[in-house]
Amino acid sequence: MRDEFPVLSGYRLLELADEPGVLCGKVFADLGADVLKIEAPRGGPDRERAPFAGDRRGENTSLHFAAYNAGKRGLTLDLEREEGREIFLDLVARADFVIDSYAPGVLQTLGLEYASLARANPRIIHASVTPFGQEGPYREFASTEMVTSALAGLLYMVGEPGEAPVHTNFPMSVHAAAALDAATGLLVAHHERERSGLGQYIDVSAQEAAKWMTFDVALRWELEGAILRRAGAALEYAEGIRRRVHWRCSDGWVAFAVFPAPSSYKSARSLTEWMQEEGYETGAFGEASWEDLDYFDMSEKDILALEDPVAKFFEDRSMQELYDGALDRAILLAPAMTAREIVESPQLEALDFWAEVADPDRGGDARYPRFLRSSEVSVGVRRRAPRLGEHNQEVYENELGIPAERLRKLGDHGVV
Amino acid sequence: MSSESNPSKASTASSEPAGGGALEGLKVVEFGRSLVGPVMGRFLALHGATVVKVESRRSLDVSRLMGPYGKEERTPDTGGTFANLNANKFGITLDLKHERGPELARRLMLWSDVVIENMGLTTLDDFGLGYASLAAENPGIIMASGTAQGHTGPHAHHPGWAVFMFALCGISELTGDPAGTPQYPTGLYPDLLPPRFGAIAILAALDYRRRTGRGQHLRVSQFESCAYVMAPQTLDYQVNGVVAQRTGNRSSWAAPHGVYRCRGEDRWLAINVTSEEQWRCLCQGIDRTDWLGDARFETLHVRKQNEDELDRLIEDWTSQHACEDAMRILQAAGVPAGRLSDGRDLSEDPQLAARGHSRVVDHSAVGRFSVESPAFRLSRTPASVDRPGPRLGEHTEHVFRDILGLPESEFADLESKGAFE
Repeated sequence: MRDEFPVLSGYRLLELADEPGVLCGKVFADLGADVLKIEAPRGGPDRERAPFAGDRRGENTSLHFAAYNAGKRGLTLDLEREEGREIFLDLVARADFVIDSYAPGVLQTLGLEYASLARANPRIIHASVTPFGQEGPYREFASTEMVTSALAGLLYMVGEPGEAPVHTNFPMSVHAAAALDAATGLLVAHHERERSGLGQYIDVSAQEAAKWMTFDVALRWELEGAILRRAGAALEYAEGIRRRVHWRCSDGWVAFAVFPAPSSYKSARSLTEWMQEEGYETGAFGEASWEDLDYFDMSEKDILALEDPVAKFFEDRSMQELYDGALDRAILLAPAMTAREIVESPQLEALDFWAEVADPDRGGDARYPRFLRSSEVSVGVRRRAPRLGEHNQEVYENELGIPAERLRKLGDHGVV
Repeated sequence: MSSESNPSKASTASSEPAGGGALEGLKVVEFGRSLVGPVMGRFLALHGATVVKVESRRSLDVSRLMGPYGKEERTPDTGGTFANLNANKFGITLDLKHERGPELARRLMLWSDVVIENMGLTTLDDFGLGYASLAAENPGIIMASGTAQGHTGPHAHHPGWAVFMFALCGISELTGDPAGTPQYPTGLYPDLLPPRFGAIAILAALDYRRRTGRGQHLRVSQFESCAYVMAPQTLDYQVNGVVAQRTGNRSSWAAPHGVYRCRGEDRWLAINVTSEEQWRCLCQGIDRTDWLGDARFETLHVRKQNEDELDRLIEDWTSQHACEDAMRILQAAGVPAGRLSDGRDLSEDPQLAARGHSRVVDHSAVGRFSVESPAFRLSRTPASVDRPGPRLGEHTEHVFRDILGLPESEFADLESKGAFE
C-alpha cells in the first residue's frame, strides 16, 4: 500500500546552493520536503549550465538546472541588502534545515553564519558544502570539480599509464557524493534534534567525499606501501597485474573479465560454449583450466594472450546482442551504456524508475529519475524546476505575510 | 590470535564499544556484503548506532578477503578493507542453514529498528526473514535493501560486480579521450552512491515512523542510483536527442582546462581557468603577462582555437615546478589548480590532516591504517571512530547473551551444535 503522505512532508529546507550542494535539496524534495531554493535576483550560476533545451540559452532552459532543481520552489532574494537578510532570517525562523555552498567566510561577512541563524531559530540545522571544508590550509583554494577530484586522489587513478590522467564526464562525479553526504548529515542531526531540541552546524568537504570514492588508494599505501596507479581500460587488481575490462563491440563497448571466483569461471565457460556454438575459435581461452591458474604468477602478456580469442567474438556483435546473451547464459558481461540506453532501458521501465513531469519551458514532458522505492510512500519529482523567482509572491506574501505594497517596493529596489 | 588495539599508542582507537553520538540508542542489524550494505551501516555506526553485523563462517562478507594486508598473516580478520568499512560495528556469526538459525536471526531482527541487507534478491525471503514476514510481527520495522539493478524486472537477476556496473551505469562510456577506449573509472560510484541514498532513506523513514508508527521497506540499487545522478544527460537525450560523450580533460567553455605534467615522475597538476579574470590571474601568477596581449589567447574563443599550443606552453611552465609549488603559485594568484594526489599524498595531505579526516588505528592484526570519518562534520555530535571492524564472530556471545538474553546453557548448547558457524 502506498501512502500519498511523503516521507519528509512538513519539513522545510532553505537552499542557498549551486552545484556542489544542489543535489542535497533535490533529494529532500523527492522525499516530500518543502525545498525553497533562494537565488540572487539575477539567478544562480547553475541556470547558465549547458545543456539547454533546444540549445536555446535562457534563464529557464538549462537542463542541468532542471535535472537537479525539479521539485523545489524558487525564490529570489538579495542577501547583500539588509532587507534581504531580514527576510532570510524570517524564513530561517520557519524552516528546519539550511544548506549553502558559499565559499568559506562569505556567510560570516553577511552576518548569516550558523550562529546568527541559530539566534533566529535554535532548532535550525545548517550544512555548508565546499570543496575543502571551512578550516585548513586549502579552505580558500579556488576549485572546480576536476581540481577537487585531483586533490582527492580520484583523478590520478584514471587514464592510460604514462599519459595524463583523465577526468570523467559523469555529471557531478564528486559533487553528488558531497551533496548526498550533506543530506545524510542533516538527517543524522535531525534524528538527534528530536531528542535534544537543538540544531547544529555541519561542515562538508567535497575533497573528503571524493577521496572516499577510492578509499582503497590510501589504505594500500598505508598498509602495503603500494602506490596504486591508473591502468587504462583495465583494472589493476594487484600491483602490476592488470585485467582488461573494456572491449570493443560492433556499436560500442562492453565490460568483460574473468576474475578468480567460481561464478566468474562459470561465466568464462558459458562464454566459451556460446562462442563454440557460433563456430568461433576459442583457443587458449576455451582450454584454460581456470581454477588452476595462478593469476599472481602470470604476466600481463600471458593474460592478454589467454583472453584474446574473445575479442573477435565481441567485435562481431552489438552491445544488445552481447547483453542478451549474457543475461541468458549467466555471463558476467555488461554493455557500456550511454544516456540513450539508460533512457530506453527495459529494466528501468520495469522498475517504474521514471516520473513524468510537464515542463513547457524545456520542450514539454520529460521523465525524471527516482533514487528510491518504498513499500509505504511515493518518492520522486512532483513538479518541474522553478522559474527564476516563481514562488516569490506565494511565499513572501501568502506565507510570510509581507504586504503586497511592500513586496512591490522590495522588487523595485532589487531585493527580491 | 589477538586483534585488540594497542592501548600504549596515543593515536590508538579504543576497543570499547561506541558510546554517545547523534544516533545513540538506534538498533541496527546488518546483513551486509562488500560495500553497498556495509557502508549504509557504517554511516550509522560512526554516529553511535548499535550496528550488529551478521555473517556466517560459511558465508563471509567478501570484503574480508580483499586485503590490503599490513601484516604477514592473511586471514579474514587481517584485511584493511573490512576493518575500515565495518568500523564501530559488532560482528556475529550465525548459520542461517542451521535448524535454529532463522529463528535466532528473526529474534535479532525484531529487536532492531532497522535491518540493512544486500544479500541478493531472495536470500532473506528464502529463510522466512523478508520484510513482509517481519512487518507482520512488527509493523514499525524498517528494512533497507541494496541490489545491483532492483528486485524485479528482466535484468534483476544479473550479477552486479563493480567492474561491470561501471559500464552498465553509463560511467565507463563517459570516461576518457573522445577518440580512444573508455577508461576504467576507478571511483566507486556504483558501490558508494547507493549506500548514501540508503542511509538518507533510512533516516527519513525513522522520522516517518516516529510520526506515523509505520515502518517501510526501502530499496536502492546501483543502476538506479547512478542513473539518478546522470539526470542532466538523460534529459539532454530526451529533450534534444543528444547522447553525452566522454570529453577527456577539455571543456567547451573553459581554457586552459587540463592536466599538466610537473617535475618528477608521474606528477601532475590540474588547472581549470573558468573565466577571463582567472586567465588574467594565471598570466600574472606565472609572469607571462605578455600572453594578455597575445592575439592567440586574448579571448576564450581564440584560446580554444589555439588550445594545443596553449597547453604546450602551460606545460612548459608546470614541468619546471614540483606540482605542490605550481599549485601554490596558481592558487595564490586565484586560479583553480590542484595536485593529482596519489596514495602517499593523500596520507600526508595537510588539508585532510587539518580537518581530522581520519583516525589512525594501530591494530595488532591489521596494522597501522586510517579509518575515515564521513565527509560531513556535525559540530555538536560529531562522528567517532571507536574501533575497526570486528573479528569474525567477535561479538557473537555478547549479542546473543547480553542483548537477546539467551541463557548461558542454551548459548553453549547452540554453539556446540554449530548454530554460530
